[in-house]
Amino acid sequence: MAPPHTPARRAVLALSTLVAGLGLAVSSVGAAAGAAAYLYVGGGGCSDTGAGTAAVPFCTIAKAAKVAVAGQTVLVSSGTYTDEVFPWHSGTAGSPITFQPAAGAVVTIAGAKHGFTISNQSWITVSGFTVRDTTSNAFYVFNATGVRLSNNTARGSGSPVSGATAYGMYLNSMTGSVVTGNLVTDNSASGIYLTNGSTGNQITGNESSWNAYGYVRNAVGIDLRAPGNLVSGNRVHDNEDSGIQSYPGGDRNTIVDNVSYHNKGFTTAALTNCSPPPTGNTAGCITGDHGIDDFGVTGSSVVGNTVYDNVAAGINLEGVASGTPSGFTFADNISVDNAASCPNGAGGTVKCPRTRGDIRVDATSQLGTRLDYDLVNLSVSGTMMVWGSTSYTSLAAFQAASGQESHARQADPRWNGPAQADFSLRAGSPAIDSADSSAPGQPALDAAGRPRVDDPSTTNSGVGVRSYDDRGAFEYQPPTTRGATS
Amino acid sequence: MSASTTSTHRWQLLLGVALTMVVALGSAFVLTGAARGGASAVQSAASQPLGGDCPDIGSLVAAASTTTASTTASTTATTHGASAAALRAGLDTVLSRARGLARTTASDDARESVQNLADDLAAYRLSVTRPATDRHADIAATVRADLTALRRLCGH
Repeated sequence: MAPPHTPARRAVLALSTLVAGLGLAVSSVGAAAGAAAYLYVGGGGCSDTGAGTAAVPFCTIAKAAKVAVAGQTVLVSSGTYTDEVFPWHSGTAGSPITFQPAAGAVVTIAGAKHGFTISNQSWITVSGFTVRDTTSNAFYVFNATGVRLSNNTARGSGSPVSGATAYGMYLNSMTGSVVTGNLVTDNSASGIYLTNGSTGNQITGNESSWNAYGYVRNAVGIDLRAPGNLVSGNRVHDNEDSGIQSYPGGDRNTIVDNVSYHNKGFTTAALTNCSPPPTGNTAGCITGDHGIDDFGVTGSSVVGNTVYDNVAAGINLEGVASGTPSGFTFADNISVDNAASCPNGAGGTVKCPRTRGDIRVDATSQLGTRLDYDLVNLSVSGTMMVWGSTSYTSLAAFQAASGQESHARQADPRWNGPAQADFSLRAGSPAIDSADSSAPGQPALDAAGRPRVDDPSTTNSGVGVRSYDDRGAFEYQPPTTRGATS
Repeated sequence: MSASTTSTHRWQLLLGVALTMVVALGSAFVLTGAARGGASAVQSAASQPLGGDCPDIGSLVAAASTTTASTTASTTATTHGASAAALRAGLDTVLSRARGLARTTASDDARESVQNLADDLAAYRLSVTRPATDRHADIAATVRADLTALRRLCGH
């Protein structure tokens, strides 16, 4: 016999049916999110009216982007696509939406306005695409978190004409995201641009090069107009302006282990802010600027970078409001031969036309700026350091006058091949085992991802949590202890 | 317990389950529909043409052109008290307008171009109040390029 339906039992029954109903509701919603793990794009028999299966893939990446939900991976077959890809949904922290070429596939997006537009959607991963010749930025992110852009190429965005230029990666209000391993080159504005409160991002291991407006000297490898980001292990070179730049808004960034070199060139184009050489082709313009430039920003760390052969002062800080402590730390950097020699457009060289020095701090930016454990050098006579309005041709003179850089060194860093952009250290380098490992932002791995190693042939003169970190972006790996920490 | 009472209870239970299912399905519909509707709304906003912003952009470009032209002409005087303060105030006004428009526009194209102007105006403001003439010339050229881009964006 069934038990009597007491009020308590009726309540239990009601609760049970409610729970069952809610479970049904949840499972209905979850069915969409729990759809097939993979969506397929490209290849024979494709149809954008299908379901994006391996048998009947979508024809366009854009279609897959419209339907993909959290946890799904969009696999794209080899080919050149003309889509502008807008994800219509967000992933989640544990289940992002991923776009990537199928195994072994080579995928290019060409000729679209943008390659990928991630606007108001989060937890999106885009990996392994080549985006070229877009009319606007190759990658455009707005108001998103948890984005990951990895191992892509962004090339040839926009046109070098006023009003038609475009960035490689334009990152607006992007937070908690990762941009890593990308090649960003030959775009008509800066390579990677962070703006409007983009913060908590990691910009690591990218190469940003040969970016140029072509009519105004202004394209930077990595341009920071937003605070609180990590910029680490990037290679920035041959850009029309500086390698890495922090401009107003770009406070409290950590700029470590980057290699910034040869942001220097010559163009016969008439730049609106032309710096012509005094001899040679005086109608042309010298391009390039600083290796690392900080203008009107505070609170950043510039640590462990390698900076070489740029047109203007290698590492530069200027424009901090008078009386405001800059809060800047420069440490463990190697800065060599900056503003030392510039092309004259006729096969020769001239003295570089703008600011000088391997490291320069202008008159309003000295307060609260700390410099130490850097290694500087010039292979020709010239300005080594600038402190305020005074230039110094030797480190010793600078140390005596400023009281800064008491552990700095002036010496040849003994790179393996600077002409080939190989800035790894040779045995006996004065950079070995001599850094401040506790400098703010100094990483435990070098720019190549290798561990810090204690060179048995070098007496440790470093300080901090490890006494054997090397200065500059690369850790010397002694032959007998390669890959081992001590 | 009588048979009729048991039947009534079963009927009530079935009705309860049916009602709950209706509510659940309705909830599912609302939830999924909201998600789709939200995405659609966002997508629509992201793709919105910029025509509606052009009057504001035109006004901003005019104000920025006037202000930066006057500061360029007066650069040599910018380090002197009242003059510098007036220049900064003028730039602050334009900068505030640019930032506001960058926040409110629904067009990605307008947002980017106006944000670029705002970023470069912030640097420009610093450059005219610092004795760094190379920097000032560089940034002034950049601001001019931003203004050109905005004019072209609206077909001017």
